[in-house]
Amino acid sequence: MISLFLDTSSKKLVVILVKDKEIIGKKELESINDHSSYLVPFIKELLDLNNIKTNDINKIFVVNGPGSFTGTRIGVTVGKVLAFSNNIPVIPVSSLKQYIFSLENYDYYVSIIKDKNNRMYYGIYDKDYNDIVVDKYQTKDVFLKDINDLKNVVFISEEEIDGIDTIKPILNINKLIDYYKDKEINAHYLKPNYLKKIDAEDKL
Amino acid sequence: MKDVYILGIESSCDETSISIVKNGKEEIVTTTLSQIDIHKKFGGVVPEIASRSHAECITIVIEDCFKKANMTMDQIDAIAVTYGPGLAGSLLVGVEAAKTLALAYNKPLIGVNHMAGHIYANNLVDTMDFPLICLVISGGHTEIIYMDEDLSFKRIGSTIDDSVGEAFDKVARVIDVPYPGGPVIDKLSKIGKDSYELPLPMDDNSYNFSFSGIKSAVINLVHNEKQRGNEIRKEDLATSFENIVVKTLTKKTMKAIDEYKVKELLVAGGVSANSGIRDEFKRLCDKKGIKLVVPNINYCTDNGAMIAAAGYYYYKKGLFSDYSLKINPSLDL
Amino acid sequence: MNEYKLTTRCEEDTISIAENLEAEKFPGMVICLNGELGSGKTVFTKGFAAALGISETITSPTFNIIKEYLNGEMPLYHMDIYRLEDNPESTGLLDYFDKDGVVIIEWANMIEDYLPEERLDVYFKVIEEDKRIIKFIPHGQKYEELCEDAL
Repeated sequence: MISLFLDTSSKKLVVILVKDKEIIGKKELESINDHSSYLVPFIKELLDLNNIKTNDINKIFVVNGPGSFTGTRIGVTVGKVLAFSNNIPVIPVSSLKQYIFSLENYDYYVSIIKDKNNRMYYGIYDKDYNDIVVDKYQTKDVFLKDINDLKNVVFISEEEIDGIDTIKPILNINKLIDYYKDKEINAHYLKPNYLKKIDAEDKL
Repeated sequence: MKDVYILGIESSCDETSISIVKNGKEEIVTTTLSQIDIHKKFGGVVPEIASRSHAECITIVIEDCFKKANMTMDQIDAIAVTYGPGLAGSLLVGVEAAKTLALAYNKPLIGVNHMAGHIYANNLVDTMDFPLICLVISGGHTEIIYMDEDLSFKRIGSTIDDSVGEAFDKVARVIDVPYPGGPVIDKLSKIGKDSYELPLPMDDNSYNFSFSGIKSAVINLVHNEKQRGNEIRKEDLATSFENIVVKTLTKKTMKAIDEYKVKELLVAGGVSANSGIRDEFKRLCDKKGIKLVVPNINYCTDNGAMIAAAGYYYYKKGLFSDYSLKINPSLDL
Repeated sequence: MNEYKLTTRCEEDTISIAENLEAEKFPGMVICLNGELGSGKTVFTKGFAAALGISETITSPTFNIIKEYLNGEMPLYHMDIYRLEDNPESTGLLDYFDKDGVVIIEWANMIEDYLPEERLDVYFKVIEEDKRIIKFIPHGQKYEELCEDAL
């Protein structure tokens, strides 16, 4: 089974090609502002390197947010058009949840992306990787309330957060594929997950 | 000569529109997002497509296009897409979708300037006879362009402030007329009298336009009349305003036609739908024996057909783009 | 929070104020312009752009919503929210605040919830044909200092 994984939801750009549990191609850029110049060229490069055509791909995994609106939009557009064109199933992946699969033996997994003005995106998951708190955007105060009672918990975050011990996010692509592989949707339905930054709670 | 089918994708601003055009002249099909009944598409079960935004609906538009045309991607020779000017967030969706289609079906990719698209919309009506002058008038543009051959554009004049489309909308706001102001003012001007005095802007030897002065003049006029306790006769003000717009546009355009010694005038862009402008240009061009081409109403506003039409000429000249094509929100001709 | 009020009697006065503010510019500066049609928002922007050394003509962004000018001393992003119907976040508009240029937004009050906390709010009021009263409200220390130095 050949899987294509795309993540353009942050300043990073990640494209991974996997064949039967083996990573046969990977392209990564750390901090860029125009994913648009690289995404399709990278996909082509990885396919060509492995003598694979687009319609050989069996599943497409697209990180559809939360995160940068422009970035996410690019990945989603490429993912859905590719899926639609070659009749390939597409699977939306949360930019937060994607990092928990590289860890195990915790009761709770908390994945965090820091934003400006003391706000953060975060998700809280249980020991079986099920959602407890799904993709939330809130102030640090609300976040602290949400994590208050958690024991045997791990916090994943690229940036350091005051008062919390965090570890850097690592992607285990095979475990991710394994977890998400049946969560296919129709290409027409794939859309960016824009978290509403202003919600009722926030205004309190 | 084999027929060439170009797929044109336009998503630079408010609309997503995809078309197939044959040989740069014959429109096979055009689909626009705003015309698709999304609810019907999903058999009554409406998915959470919150806004009819490009990013969420592009595949629906692509599918609809090919279904209506009864064609497949294999029959397409190249994919043309607007890469500028326009709104970055909107342009990106069109460009990334085009790149992906090009990759998936192994077709050449062509980046098209949105303005060139407006100009080539006229090619769908009649052949372009060079050299010619093109007046592009829309919400986003007001320019006089000289062309002596395909895809050769020389801008000889443009607005220094508001576009003529914006001028219509803003004056409509001032006289309290519903949006979109252009068509409403056009309608009112048919029944009004030219009884208000408004200044002719930039009455000089340049080919540049200015509309913010007229806007201010209308604002001041309305304010003064209100102060005097007079009621504004909307239809008369619409007439006076439209007459000034027609006068400034025709005066400078006809001058360009004389100076550049051309025999053909194209009028392109959304505002070319205005009847006052069309009628006066027709009268002046007939008088001088100048061939006048105005697009059909459906080609005036942003659409994929104009991109596909322009794309054909890029195709013929071998002007292809690669997968790193970057959008340019401020692209110039 | 301080408020600064200035009276202008002609377009040149508005342009002059814009030039003074430009002289104190910094990357990531956000200026929000509010006021009725014809009150001087675009005139102000033109003055600011000229001082930035932008050679292109600044034209109205009402229809296009965002216009970018990249060849001055600093990039200038000129926006007009009036026509915006979508959620500002999904149009990528907010990305411009992170770009190290100067952002000038007309009709900014229409997206008040999405504006950065630190910014300069400017209000144009029409008194007579050519006369305006312009009110400046800085939000944040950088902008307080900006007003003290420039106005």
